[in-house]
Amino acid sequence: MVPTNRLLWILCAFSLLSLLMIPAPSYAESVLAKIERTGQLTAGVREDVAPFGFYDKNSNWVGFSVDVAQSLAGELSKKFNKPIQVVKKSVNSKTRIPLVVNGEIDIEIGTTTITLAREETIDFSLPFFITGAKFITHKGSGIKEVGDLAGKRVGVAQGTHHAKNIEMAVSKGLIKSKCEIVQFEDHAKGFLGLTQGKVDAYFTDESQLFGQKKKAPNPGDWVIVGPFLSYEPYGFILPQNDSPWRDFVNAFLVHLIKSGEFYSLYDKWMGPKSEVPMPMSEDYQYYLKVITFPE
Amino acid sequence: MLEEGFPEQAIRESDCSVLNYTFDWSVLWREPYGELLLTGIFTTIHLSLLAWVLALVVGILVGVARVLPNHLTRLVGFSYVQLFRNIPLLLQLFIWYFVLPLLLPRPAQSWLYRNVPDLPYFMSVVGLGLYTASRVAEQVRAGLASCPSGLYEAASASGLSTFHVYRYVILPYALRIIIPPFTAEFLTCFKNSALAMTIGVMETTGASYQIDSLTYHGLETTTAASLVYIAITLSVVLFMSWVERRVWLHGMIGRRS
Repeated sequence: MVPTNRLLWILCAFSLLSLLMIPAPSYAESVLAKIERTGQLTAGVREDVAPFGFYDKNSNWVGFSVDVAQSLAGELSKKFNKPIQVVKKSVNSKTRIPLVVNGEIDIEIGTTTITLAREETIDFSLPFFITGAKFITHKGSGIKEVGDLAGKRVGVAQGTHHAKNIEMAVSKGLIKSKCEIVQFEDHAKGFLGLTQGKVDAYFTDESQLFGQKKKAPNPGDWVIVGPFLSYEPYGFILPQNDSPWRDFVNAFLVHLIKSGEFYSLYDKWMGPKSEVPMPMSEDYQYYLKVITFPE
Repeated sequence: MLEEGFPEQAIRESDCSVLNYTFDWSVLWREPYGELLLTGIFTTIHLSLLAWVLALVVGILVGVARVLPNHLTRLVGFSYVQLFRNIPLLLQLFIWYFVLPLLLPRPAQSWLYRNVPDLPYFMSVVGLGLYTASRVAEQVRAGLASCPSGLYEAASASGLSTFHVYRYVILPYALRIIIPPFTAEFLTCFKNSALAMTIGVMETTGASYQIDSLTYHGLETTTAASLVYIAITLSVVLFMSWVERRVWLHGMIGRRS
């Protein structure tokens, strides 16, 4: 028994030591200086969230985020007076923060909600998109408003705040009795569970619901039920404490809105004639005006 | 690792590079994350234990079926092991939860979804248990094969039926021989339970990922989850070595360790 025991302790010590070696170094250099040196802007983009970042019919990686990254690279080219290439890296909700923290990507342009807890680890740009969570359900489910969800099974994705949002709606009395919350690994599996009848409704950001509905065989069978039960302002993820880079990105966003290019990009990907129409809420339109700061 | 021609400035910067990350271990016990993690740990423990019980029962039956002097049971045992051992567990869990219910008639499906509380958990126990059973069955078969043929002959000659030969002579002997490889399967069962996360069970790994995505303190939560698995598996190792000592028979498995 004695030699086995000692071996176990040595193994434990080694596994603990290896954990201490995980931290990845990041350069003290500003991202701006790095972009100028390498001539490349490395942007983290989603590949599964239409219309932000997704594969179109011809298997091209396109979307609102991709166009914003191109536009940002254009602005950088003007600043440094040399061509800056966009290098797209695929991110998901689990990898987007670690990749910014370890310096793999300079910016994440996706669908990340700004939260104070997240601000402790990384920085965010100004919000560029405002949405909130709603329910999606089959049109024959009998669920017409949030109150009808009492006692129903509701799907949410892991890694989101949405389970908490539903509990809050219950405690506020918007939903009269507790819902049974069913977790799914991601939105795709959650929507699969909804179409199979595993849950009566699925709950997430409205912007994601539009994309999932679009992918369904019969989009008309699915209805989105409001009102917003959460507030989700999306921002670009930026490395912590890199003020020159954050200022540059924020100025870029303000100019994008002022020049009207932001609205044409929005129209291209989310306008009435786009594949995934998402009408701009009044609050969102007002917000965009608020951040048109003077020069 | 420095390459030739690497800019001098960059080398200097990488030398004094610091981790741009502030550790905050309180995410492991702070409201509401502590409860999430603790529930996750308990889920890992009872999910794996239930799966292991299922694996033992099915595994021993299948293992014995593979050596019985009967072509049909051998074929069934062989097919079972090849089917469950050769499909990745990740896919098996997906099939149990998302695909198999579709084979039921529509009303049965809705009954299942409405009346089985926590279906993902139930399907994880079944999926993990039946997968582990295929591996247990192979260990049992190896144990049975290691019994000297004289043992079977002597037991049969004393007038025992096939069932009693196995029940009273062969299995008590074979099961003792395979305790060490059983320990390994038991440990693997605990570690494989992490895959239940993919069908929505919030066990230890799922809970640690959840806390990570809410707080972005993934280094802390992954470290904690790793330590939890080490603690659980070390307890299993200690328990199994106790079992080994407890069932030890004089002159059977080498010296008493």
